[in-house]
Amino acid sequence: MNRALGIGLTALLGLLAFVVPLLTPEPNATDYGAKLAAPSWAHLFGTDQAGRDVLARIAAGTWVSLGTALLVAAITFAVGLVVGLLAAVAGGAVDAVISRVIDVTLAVPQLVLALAIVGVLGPGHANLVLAMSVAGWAHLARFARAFAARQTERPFVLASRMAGVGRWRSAARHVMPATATGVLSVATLHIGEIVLSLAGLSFLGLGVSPPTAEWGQMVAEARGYVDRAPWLVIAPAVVLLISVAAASLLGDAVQDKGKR
Amino acid sequence: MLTLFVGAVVVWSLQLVAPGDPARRVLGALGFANPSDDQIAATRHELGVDMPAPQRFLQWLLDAMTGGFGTSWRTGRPVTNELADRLPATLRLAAVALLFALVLAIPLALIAARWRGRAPDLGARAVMFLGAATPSFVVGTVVLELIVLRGGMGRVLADGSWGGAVLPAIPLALGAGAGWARVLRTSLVEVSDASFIQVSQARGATALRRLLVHAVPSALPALLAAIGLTVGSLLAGAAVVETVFTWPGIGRYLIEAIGARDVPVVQATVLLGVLGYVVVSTIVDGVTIAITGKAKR
Amino acid sequence: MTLIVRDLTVSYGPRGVSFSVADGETVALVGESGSGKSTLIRAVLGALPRSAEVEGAVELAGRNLIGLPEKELRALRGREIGYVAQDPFGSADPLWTVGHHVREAWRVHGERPPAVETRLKILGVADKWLKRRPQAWSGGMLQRADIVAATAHAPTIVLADEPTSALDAEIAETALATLVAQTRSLLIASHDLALVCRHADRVLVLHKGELVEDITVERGGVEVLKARARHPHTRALVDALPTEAPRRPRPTGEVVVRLDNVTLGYRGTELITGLDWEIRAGEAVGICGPSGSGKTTLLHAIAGLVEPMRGAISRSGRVMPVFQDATASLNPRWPVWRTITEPMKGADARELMDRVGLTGVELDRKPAQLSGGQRQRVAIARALAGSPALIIADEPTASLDPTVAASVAETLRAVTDSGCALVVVSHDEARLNQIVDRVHRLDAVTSGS
Repeated sequence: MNRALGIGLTALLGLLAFVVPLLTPEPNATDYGAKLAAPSWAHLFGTDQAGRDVLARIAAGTWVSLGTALLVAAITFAVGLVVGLLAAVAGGAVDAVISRVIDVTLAVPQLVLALAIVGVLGPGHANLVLAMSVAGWAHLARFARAFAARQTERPFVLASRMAGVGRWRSAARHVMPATATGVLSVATLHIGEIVLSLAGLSFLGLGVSPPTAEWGQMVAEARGYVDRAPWLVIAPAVVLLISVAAASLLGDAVQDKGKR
Repeated sequence: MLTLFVGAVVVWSLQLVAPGDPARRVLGALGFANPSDDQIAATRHELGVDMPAPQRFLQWLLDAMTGGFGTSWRTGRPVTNELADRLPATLRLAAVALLFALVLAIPLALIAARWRGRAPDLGARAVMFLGAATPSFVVGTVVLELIVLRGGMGRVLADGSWGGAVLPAIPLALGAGAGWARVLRTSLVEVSDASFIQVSQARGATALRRLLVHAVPSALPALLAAIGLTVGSLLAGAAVVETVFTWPGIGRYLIEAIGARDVPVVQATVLLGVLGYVVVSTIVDGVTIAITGKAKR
Repeated sequence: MTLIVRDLTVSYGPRGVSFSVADGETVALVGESGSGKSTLIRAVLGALPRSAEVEGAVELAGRNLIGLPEKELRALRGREIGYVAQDPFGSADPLWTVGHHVREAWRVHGERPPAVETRLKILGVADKWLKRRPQAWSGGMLQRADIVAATAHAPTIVLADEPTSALDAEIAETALATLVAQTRSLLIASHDLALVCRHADRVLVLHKGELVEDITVERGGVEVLKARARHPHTRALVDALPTEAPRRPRPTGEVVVRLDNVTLGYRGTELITGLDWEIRAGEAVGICGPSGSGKTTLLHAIAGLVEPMRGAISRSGRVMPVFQDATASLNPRWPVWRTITEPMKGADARELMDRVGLTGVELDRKPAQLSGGQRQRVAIARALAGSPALIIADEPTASLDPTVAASVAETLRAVTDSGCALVVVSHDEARLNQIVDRVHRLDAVTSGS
């Protein structure tokens, strides 16, 4: 049930990203004659203070908001998995060094670290991706390391090692696939968090610069019009909600699959 | 302590990778669009950026330990004074938000766990999801625009007082409280399958007694860990809410500093955030050990 | 009659089960996993999940408990129906003292607890222990505290679900004797046929949810059961009881493992001191002892998985393992042929499967599609595929049902036919004697573990 709902919501977001832009006006096309127009057949989600179509901007924002989140999730997944596996399988000095680096990174709260990096490198989309990735890989690496270490101690891995299979080959056969699934489920569950963090940072003006449409920034621009045009806040809030729900449902589904 | 030191190294080293010449930036902020080479050299010396990196770091660390964080590149005032002015407002906001979040999280989780799988649980979980998935800037914007501006309630210009902290605390508490409720509920549900809870039931204990006497103490460490994590990233949450409500705290100050690339301020604020995180984690660890008695389970 | 169960049917467990327990009687429910004995105990307790559909009647002193509102059931629990769970450590909340755990039996009914110290002293537990948390206690002592809590209000009947399976053999015997002595009527679910036959008045045999036989044994031991058992399933259970394997003369072949004045320990504590031992090809030996005596450490040292603190171990040839948890010992993602051929590429998986009694099982099955016994056989086939000099097995039958355990034990013994040596660790000496030719006994380590 949950899995179907998760796939349904993801499909909805896919529709928003790929199909809706074909049917709506340019996201940045202004029409000052139709400022703050309420939702209608011409503008399903209404228009904003510059007369831009809100649905078109939401759809365009999918690419920025969700796309960035997926990019960050993919980077942190890959780095976390590789680093964690390496530490667990290699052990010894390699493990000690990697564990130390993970501990150090985790000593600074994730969002605070991201803020610090953006703060020093300056606002901007690329810097935001870098900051979120640097801040986010460590907890996945720690999870991957612990998961892989537990997997390494399982009887069937021990049997494989006792049968004379080498450490790396045995890890590739028995440890890697299960660890990848485990890390993938955690990474998927975190997409929602990343989407919210990115939107928050963009809201603060630390992400893409206007007029590029981004969900968090759309809320920031809507300040001052909320009582007259509530759709300006409701629309981004709802798509954020859908993204978070989709990520958490899909993450659960991946987790269940890993258990089976 | 080690964490704090390592945090300091990380925070400080960031400026080494910062693009652009800080002297040029400072002069730019002061109004010199095309500074001469002499001016730049003089400013570099003033900022201390002409020294080799390790020496600069040691100098910064020594200053930081005695409470000095240099001067703001933007305003020219000592960073320490600026932070001291703003810290009480943020702490007030955090305290009120913490209280609200606990008041929201604990009853919600208990209701959900007590009637697990039934209507109250489903309702509570819906609230938890909405609370955790609605960004604080949306809640903040709506609260500000509808209650403060339109309803005329509260003060438009936040003054950093206890009374003024109530409204900004709402968005902060909603997200945190919903997350904590979720953690507490999961933990309560997990422990409710434990054999000792079933034994307690077989002895004749009521569902409420099983929940409060056995499940809650076992689930508490998970909640404490979640609270520790949230409070750790409070600075980030405060940044959003303080910006929305123009609350005179360090979160908004940090965002302004980032906008102006005011590196000493960013460093000092982030270090303060790390310090807060370390303090809170230490307290959480202490309380957890007190509850579990180092019980290995 | 104290307890009368009439045509009890639970949607996923017992089907039409009827029996009764008289005042002062001890009745044992025996059966393999999935026979429905735990569900039956929970049904009498009224502690089945809401989703379970229950039909029939459970009458306690003339009152039907099925369909009784939770409030009335709660008043009966502890007062009229006592309960002792499987693992004493699981039954006591680890965050509270054991004193709190025992006194809770009164507090939940709004009563002031009496001096529980004297009740525990009668069972040989000093009162200083009550102020400590369960993890400081020993299993046998904690089970006695739990018995005091379960019998706090001298209930009409006490239900016990595998109350001794988490305890070592000698402790289990006394724990069960204490339980019988402290209760008026007792209904006990257990898989340990020999143990319950020594303590129960009657044995009820459950098979796939149905009560197939009701045998009066009058605490006469398993011999009485053997003489009176009629139903084929009861006979199967009796036949599965461990019988000592014929002792073979010690082979004179090559020495596979030699231990030379070996001292083993764990975290600085010496468990085994100055052991000299030789294991020869084609020989089957067992290691037996109570928990914490160093059985597994010795096995791992023989296999080279841990280093001895002192002394030397020499071995020739490959060592392959068989584990207790048959599920965890197979990669859940791999079909069985892949697991079996991992130690040696090109090994004939079919032939190996036939050899361990998996003739009818297809090679591309995943572990999840196999039964526990079949999984353990796959693990044995994998061990054989490596053509090892020695196979080590740690409690290989402990998590299997008795009938399955008996035949897996025989399969395991047969691996020595090909000249491979076998070392088996078990806490169950009777089962061990079915597999091996001689047993090395380890004593409990006194310095606490």
